[in-house]
Amino acid sequence: MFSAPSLAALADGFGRDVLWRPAVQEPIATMTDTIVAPATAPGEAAVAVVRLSGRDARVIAQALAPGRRQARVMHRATVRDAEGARIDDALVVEMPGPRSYTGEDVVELHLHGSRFVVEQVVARACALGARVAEPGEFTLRAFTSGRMDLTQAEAVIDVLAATNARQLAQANAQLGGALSERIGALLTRLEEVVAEGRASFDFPEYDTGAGLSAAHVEVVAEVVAELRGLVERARPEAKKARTVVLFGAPNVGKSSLLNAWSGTERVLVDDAPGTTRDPIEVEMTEGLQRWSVWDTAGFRAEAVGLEARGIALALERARAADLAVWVLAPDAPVWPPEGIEAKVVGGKADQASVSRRTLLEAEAQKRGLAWLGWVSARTGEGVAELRSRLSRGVDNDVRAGDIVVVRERQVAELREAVQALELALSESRAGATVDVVVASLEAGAFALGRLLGRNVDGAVLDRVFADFCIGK
Amino acid sequence: MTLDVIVVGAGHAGCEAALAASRLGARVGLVTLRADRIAQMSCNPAIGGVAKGHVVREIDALGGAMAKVADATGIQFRRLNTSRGPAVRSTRAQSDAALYRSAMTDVIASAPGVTVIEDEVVDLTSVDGRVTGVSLSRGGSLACRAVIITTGTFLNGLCHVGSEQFTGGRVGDAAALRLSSALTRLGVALGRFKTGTTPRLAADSIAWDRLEVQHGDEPRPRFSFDQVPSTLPQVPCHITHTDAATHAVIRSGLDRSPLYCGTIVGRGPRYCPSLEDKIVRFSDKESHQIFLEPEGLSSDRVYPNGLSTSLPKDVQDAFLRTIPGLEHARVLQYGYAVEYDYAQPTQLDARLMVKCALGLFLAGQINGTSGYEEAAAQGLMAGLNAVRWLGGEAPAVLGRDQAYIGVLIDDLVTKGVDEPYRLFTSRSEHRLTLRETNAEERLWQVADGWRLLSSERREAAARREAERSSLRAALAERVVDAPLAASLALSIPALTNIQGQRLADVIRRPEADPEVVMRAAALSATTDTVQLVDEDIKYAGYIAREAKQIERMRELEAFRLPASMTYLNAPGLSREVQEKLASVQPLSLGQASRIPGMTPAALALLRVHAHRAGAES
Repeated sequence: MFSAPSLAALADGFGRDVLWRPAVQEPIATMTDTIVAPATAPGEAAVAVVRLSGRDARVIAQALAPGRRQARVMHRATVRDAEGARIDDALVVEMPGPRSYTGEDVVELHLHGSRFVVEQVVARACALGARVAEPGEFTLRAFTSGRMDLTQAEAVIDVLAATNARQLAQANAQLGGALSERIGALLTRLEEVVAEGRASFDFPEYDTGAGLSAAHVEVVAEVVAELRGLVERARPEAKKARTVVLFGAPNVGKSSLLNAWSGTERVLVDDAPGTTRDPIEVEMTEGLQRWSVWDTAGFRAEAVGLEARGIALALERARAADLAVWVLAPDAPVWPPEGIEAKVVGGKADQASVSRRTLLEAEAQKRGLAWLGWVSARTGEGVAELRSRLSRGVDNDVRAGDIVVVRERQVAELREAVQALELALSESRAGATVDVVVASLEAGAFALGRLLGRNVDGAVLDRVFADFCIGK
Repeated sequence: MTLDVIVVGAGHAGCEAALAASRLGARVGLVTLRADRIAQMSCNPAIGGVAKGHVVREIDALGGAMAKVADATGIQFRRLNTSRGPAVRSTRAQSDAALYRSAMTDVIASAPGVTVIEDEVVDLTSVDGRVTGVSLSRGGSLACRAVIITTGTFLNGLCHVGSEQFTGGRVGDAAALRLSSALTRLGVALGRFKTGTTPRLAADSIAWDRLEVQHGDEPRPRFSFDQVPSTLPQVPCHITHTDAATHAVIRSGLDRSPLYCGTIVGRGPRYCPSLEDKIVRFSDKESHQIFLEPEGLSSDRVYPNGLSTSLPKDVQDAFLRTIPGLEHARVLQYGYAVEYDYAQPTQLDARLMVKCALGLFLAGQINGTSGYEEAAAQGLMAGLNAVRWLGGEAPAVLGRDQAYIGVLIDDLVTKGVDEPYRLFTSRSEHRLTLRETNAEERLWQVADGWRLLSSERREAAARREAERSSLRAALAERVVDAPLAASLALSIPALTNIQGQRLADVIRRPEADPEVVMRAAALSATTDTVQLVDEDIKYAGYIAREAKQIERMRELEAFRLPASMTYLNAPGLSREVQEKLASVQPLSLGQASRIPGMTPAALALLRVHAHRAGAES
């Protein structure tokens, strides 16, 4: 079911669970690297704050949103993606350590309160060298740099302890049996290749081969292809939410519908037409899919000034949306303008008689418009059906049996694995020596190992002993 | 006689321990059951090999003796893995075992402050958990301030040949039967491991002319960075193999194998299986290689590498008759397995000192390792740390990014062992950085800071450092002019379009043989230096990639955990993690992060606890 994310769900769904890391023995986050995380719950306010802390915080912020800035003063800056395209206009404030919350260099980016924007900024910061903060890590850093006393630190312990206790359970639950099985199988194949590579230089006197065999290079290529598929189907941070634009004549109940849909009073509703001037976004999630639903200004031929601009904006949004939903009032039906692809919903269903409904549905058919159903914000009639109808349509682009990775952390590890393994393949093609190729393979295997909480080194050693007859 | 340090056992660990302590000015008693068996090679007559060669060179850079003795007594030197990349190239030498023993005995004899005592240590004395001396079987007792135990396979050693059993640390030598209970009394928990060795064959009974020959490399690769003269003639090894007939004989004898009828309880190393193990576990393999290694120039004994076994004597005789070239081989000593006591090394701190007994250090096979090189490395570090501890100095600990010795000791004291541990290059996550060629560059200044280097060695190391710097500078600065480009193109036709480039960029190209480039450019440096600088240039990208990982770990390593930390009942940490931390007592967050089962959240909690402990104390 769709539901507007509760605060708790947000904390868990975005603030925390993306931060999950399985038990690992190998690389561990250090306290000098730069961390990034949203500091505000997404979607709840007009403004969202993304915070960076650590050695490279200011360098990364400069790459994200260039500009000359004075310490502790808000500056306006444009946040851009890797291609230089604008992500958002932001207010940026740099707070050099030690006079900052964490005691380190801190930069805050005040963005528009869109989850999509926030996630793009976090992803971009990670691409520039930051990593997503562990739970409670900002506070932990504040404590360790002496910015916080012991009493306050107790709170940190609680957060960390809770995470610690939940970690393994989460690892299993969040990863999902099918996904962990799939990645586990890939890792097992990879471990065999790493074992062969290591055996070739650790036991050269036995018939372990001089390096990677062509068959093993092929295995790595297959593993990379599968992992890349998982990454491409992943729907975390940078995966855009599907946008739905509600539009229609004034006072047909668009805002009421949106409120009923999201289950909250998000949009000011009034009987006076023209209440909504600027498009308003509400985000919600249903299963794996995130939705960004826009309420827009009502269409009125006679609108002028601000209202007319709002209508123009609404049309623009509707054209760009994944789905444009025209809301129609049964008493005074106004049909969508020509040249825009829209599906129609009958609003205020509680005021529509059966005959009226039949008439309007037939009219829609005549105009070649798909009819999505009747809804009533007041009684709730049809809202659930509408949601499920929309989500059914969406799920079609994930084929049955496909495995979808949803956690940001997991996707980050998958990306790291893909990158390292592709490097191994190119090194191998370029004729690099096996010591170098194995180092890259290991980096890939370790990333998958972290994802699964598996000790790769031990597994590889077991394989070497099981597969190769070695020893004097 | 007042002694600072007593070393119990004069094997490869004991010798380096005594020598390191001596170099730091300590008065050392080296107690051995037999003074004529100092640095005996109980198993194969060889030093080095993959990862082990790295360790030997590190020992050399730290002022140890193994490399020089191996160079002086080597009778066949080879460089392994030459085609598998610079990180894993390792030196290996066949030794004349008797000459090795006498050369090391001479080094010990001339070490200032070292007294060799031929006796058996039967007990340890202590006051308030701090060792104060040892009791000897014949000579009463000796007082000292620190004891280093390097008993190898001798602690409760029990040898097996078929169903025949006899006590002994190795064939022909008595076991140390009473020391185990002394250790137990001090709180050291002991376990049981097993290892094995091959039969020794009479050289004149082998049909050499029918066997494949394996020669050493010329010029001879060497271990020590100092050029120790290698004057001994070089001899070849020979290669033969088992076949279906051999395997049939072994299968028929399995019912009398102590390994397969449950007599042996100790766990053996998987990387060094007995022949019967190989045949059972890899039953589809039709043949196993055997390397016939001479034990010395004047020795009539041959070590058939690959035939480790504890089968009954008649089975050993029978299977030897099936092996080409060994049909008439005479056995001078039968193969056997030996079970011995070891101490789980998580009971030690990073200095190799027992946590529950101040002044008691353990090094070598007693810590669950195998290999002469691993033993010698631990001995050196234990000897160094014992003296530093006596002087109230900080622990001498090598990082995992500094040396294989660092990897070895960190693995031991952090993760513990569940089979005899040996080094592999794959145990190091910083493999591309820790190379044989740069062992001295990595370690000599550290060693000098620890006062391990003689003044001559320090000067030699500094000279080599200067040579490296000037070669690097010359290569980085020198621009290829037209005549040089022409001359290089003549010797290496693939080197085109190099005019105007720096020499370093030319050397970076895989086809550029550095020696050829240097000759053409009229530059000169020793082979060692050229090789190291060439690797650094050609692999700069990979080394830089690893440097980033090392940098990431450094901060965790630098975060020291106070010794006063208590872990039991630390809020937020699981019981299992609490117990592991309490048992390992990690010195740093980095070490804590490597304890099996540690999670990032647990590590973060540990950081908070450490701060609190610091704030509260």
